[in-house]
Amino acid sequence: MVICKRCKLLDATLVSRKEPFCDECFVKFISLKQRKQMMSDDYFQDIFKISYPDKKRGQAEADKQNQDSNVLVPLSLGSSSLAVLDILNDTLLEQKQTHRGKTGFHVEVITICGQAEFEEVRGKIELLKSKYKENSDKILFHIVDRNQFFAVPFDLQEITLYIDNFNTLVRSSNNPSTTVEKVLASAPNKTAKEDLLNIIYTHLIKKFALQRNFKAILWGHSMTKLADEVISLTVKGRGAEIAGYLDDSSLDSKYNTAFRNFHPGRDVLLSEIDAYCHIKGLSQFSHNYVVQDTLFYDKFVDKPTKNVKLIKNMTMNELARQYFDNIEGDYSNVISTVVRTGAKLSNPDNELNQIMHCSICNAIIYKNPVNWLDGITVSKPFVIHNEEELTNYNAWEAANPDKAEKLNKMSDTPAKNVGVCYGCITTLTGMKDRKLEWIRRDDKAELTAVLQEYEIPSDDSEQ
Amino acid sequence: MFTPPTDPKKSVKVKVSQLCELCHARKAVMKRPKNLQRICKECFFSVFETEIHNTIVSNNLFHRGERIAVGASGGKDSTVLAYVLKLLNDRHDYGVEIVLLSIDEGIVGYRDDSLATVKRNQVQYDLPLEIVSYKDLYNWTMDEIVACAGIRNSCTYCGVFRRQALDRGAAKLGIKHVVTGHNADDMAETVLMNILRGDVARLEKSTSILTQSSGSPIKRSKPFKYSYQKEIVLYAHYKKLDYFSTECSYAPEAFRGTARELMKNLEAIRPSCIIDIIHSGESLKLKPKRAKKAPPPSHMEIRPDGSVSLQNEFIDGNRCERCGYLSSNKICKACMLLEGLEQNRAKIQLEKDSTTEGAAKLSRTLEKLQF
Repeated sequence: MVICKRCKLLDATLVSRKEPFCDECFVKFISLKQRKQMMSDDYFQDIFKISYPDKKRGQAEADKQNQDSNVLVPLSLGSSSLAVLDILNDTLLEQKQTHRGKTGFHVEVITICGQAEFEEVRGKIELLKSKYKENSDKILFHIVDRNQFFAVPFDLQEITLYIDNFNTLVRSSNNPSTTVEKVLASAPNKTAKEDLLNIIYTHLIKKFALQRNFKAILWGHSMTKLADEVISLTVKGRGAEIAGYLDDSSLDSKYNTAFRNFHPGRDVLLSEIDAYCHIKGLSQFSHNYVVQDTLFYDKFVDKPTKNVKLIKNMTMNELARQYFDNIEGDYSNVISTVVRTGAKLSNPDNELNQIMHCSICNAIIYKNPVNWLDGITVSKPFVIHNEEELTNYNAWEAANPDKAEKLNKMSDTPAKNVGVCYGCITTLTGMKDRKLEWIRRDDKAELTAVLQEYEIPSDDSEQ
Repeated sequence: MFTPPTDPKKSVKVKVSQLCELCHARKAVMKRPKNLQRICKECFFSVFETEIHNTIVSNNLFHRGERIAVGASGGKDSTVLAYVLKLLNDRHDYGVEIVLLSIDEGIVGYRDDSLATVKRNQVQYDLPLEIVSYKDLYNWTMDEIVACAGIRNSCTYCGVFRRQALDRGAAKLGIKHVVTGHNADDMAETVLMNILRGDVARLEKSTSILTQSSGSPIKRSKPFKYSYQKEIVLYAHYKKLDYFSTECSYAPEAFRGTARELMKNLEAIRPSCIIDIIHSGESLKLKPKRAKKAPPPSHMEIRPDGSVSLQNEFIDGNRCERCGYLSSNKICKACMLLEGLEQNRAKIQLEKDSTTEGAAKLSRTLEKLQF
């Protein structure tokens, strides 16, 4: 048996970064990684530290700062977000113990889910609630239906892409309402579905944070997840968004600079988070995710659950993840290299003379994607040069009278041209009829429309 | 001008649903990976050529009276490049003079065969050809280098030497512009690779179509920047161009191989991803560097590979002390590699020794064996 290299007392149960760890030392190792991030700059220190009256502020001010330090944890019930929450819970307990019941901050947890999974999600959240009941005054849970995305006080709009010139036109939708499920059904593949779902979930979480004045959103993402996001953003043509995605040091400009985005797990690999979850018994709360045993000496995951997927059925993120998994042996530092490289990027220069946001994903558009695409793609046919071809053309025209006229018609429709970013144009290209029912992103009323929550029965009934 | 043999003409009634999405008059034969349009051969030729023409014009790649050297390996990219450039030059009257420039790395069984292809191209397209060999420039052939330094680093040597050889070849011809057949797939692969290995120095420049240094009179450009490899192959295929399609027999660069595999998988689920990656690559911008604390004025940094940093910051156009080639260090990379090689060169050589002839020669011999 190998002895833990840290405490030199207990048997090691796993190997991480070439070092054998016992359970206890490993938990400490991971939680310190997160706590280090939580103390990484003044903004976060103000949130997480307990403030006391000093030369600058009196008792009332110090109390107010502790009171106002609220953070939002988006809980997907995957291993990373569970670990972030668990470490926050431990931090709160420790603060209560050492500071006579005081804490520097409080946490609210939001889980977005579809109707079909609601019952299961609620079950898990109730379990978590009772697990963390010592902090029931400091940790609040919310569940929001993802269809709240479309619950807006105005008509939806219909965005259509014209492939001939890459213009996107928008008009008020004939359907007054749509659902996330319907939108996903018209997406061509898993990558487009994931892309749209990601936009929807992110928007709901950020909107929630904005409405309730949170100081920061604590995204669970591990280093591994951040690395495959950097790669898949690049692959989806969204390279300009990488800098903003990894930015932990400025307020979110797309949401009234109301809060910061924060990735406390950015120093830790997913395999390490999984090991943390296993040791702390968090696996039972996970939903749509199987905690892996990569680092452990004794394996516990049944191999059949690691089913092999066909490449055709994978998403861009999954492919990037698979690449990192396979490469681990030879070039193991690739994951941290990718995240560090991503963090060195800044927003590109704006080539347009105004700040324009994408009508679908709200990303800033730095250069006109229509001009770019138009410049490199020719859609002019070669001339028709013989009788036979002319006959064919006439046959086509006879068979498609509306299509032949469509181009002329396009200018007559009372639709307006809107800005859509390159990444969303790519997604739209594959959508059914190249159409998407969507909310109006630029509307003030949209951001203030209150998000309805599902009810979670309170703990008191159990006790 | 080279005219390929024509297809036998068969008149068959084409169904309306099978017609090209652009002209609606001819039968569609292919689906463009870029936007999934189904188009016919004629429209494909037209859009492929026009897109390259647009790239050339919008980036002001050429000017009238310029002499340009096409880096010709005999492979599909450079063959199509030479063909298309000649075609466009005639059609749109760029007024440039095109020369084929080939590098003979000295890989028996591989390069000699592909050079034969270039020589045929020379005749087919009626273009002048210049061949520069590693043996003449460096007194080493790739076969000898591999025999001396092993197969693992072969691409490092070959890449560094080829870059210089192309410049030297062009200089010899008095040409200031080398055009290479790098395509969209190569570009995208480079963008991904630079991110994967954190090559910050190259990240911003990885998609530039024209590279130029104030210290060097020779610029390079890549008119195929936005052309899919698949389309280049299809173009060569439908035009029945004469090209050499064997991969180099020495090991491909290992890390690039992994990036290439990732890209192939990504392309399988979203064919447009190549152009999407280039779009991303064009918008990657680094944060301004934080000012470093100034080292003492007389400092000299010795890097792990033994090279020595110059006291001043990187100067564009600095020269190698030995060969006078462009270098960011006192001694250029090629001279450094050569020095390492010289030290390991066998002191005594066997007469009629053919062991340095590499794997390619062996496999060629085996192919021709008959029992």
